[in-house]
Amino acid sequence: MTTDTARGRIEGFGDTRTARFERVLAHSPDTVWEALTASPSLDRWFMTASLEPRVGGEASFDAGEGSETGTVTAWDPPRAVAYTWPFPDGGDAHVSWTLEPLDGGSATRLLLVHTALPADWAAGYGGGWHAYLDRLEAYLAGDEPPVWAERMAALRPLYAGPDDPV
Amino acid sequence: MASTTYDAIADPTRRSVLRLLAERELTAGELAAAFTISRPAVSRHLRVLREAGLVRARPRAQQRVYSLDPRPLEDVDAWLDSIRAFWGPRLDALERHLDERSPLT
Repeated sequence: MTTDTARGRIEGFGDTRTARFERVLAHSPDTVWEALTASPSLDRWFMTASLEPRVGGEASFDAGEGSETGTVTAWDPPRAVAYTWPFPDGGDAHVSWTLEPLDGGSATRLLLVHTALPADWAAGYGGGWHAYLDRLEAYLAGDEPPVWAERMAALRPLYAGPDDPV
Repeated sequence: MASTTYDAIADPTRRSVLRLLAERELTAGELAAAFTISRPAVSRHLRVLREAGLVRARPRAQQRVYSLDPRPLEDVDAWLDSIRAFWGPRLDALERHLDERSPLT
């Protein structure tokens, strides 16, 4: 499944990085939007999460030990959703998803951009988002999603810079 | 109060969590997907297992990843060994006694 098109990019230098991913999904923007924003779907491929459906609303994420909250910064169904990302320690990290219809709306080009990612975490997040997008694709296809920790560990080296411990 | 190993393994759900984590490390969400109980209930079980030192949680990018730490089970194993050491010879003696009273023909 690790094709060149599935692979994202880590950009930038200094203290923070930007991670970019693009996937073409064989599902309508409405279907993809539901997977990206509805709590029951998020729980299946991502984590326990809820997004208040308005700009300025609360975005809450539970990675296993209680909720962390961010703020919804874009809400434009089924085209764009974005939120500030509360992990690992606040900061200005921001996650945005953009959906573009393809083939008359039967497919979707999905763009994920995570900005202001602390440099130390970039390789992990690169592998982590790649693994989550693989899980999203499996979920949309009705397949069993790959185990996140295993997939993330396998993909992490793809995103490590020359100075990163792999 | 910290949970003891025995409290931790007394619960069937927690024993299932340990069996799953013996195979591979998992996120809380992946663990929850294996059970019909609620996600908060899974979190509570994970907390008990963590307090008992049977499960470790490590931050890995977006997630916390849970893995098994089998060391506290060595105490349980040692306790079972002491029981075996006590009962083993007695059960052997019982078996000999029964054999002598009603030999199989």
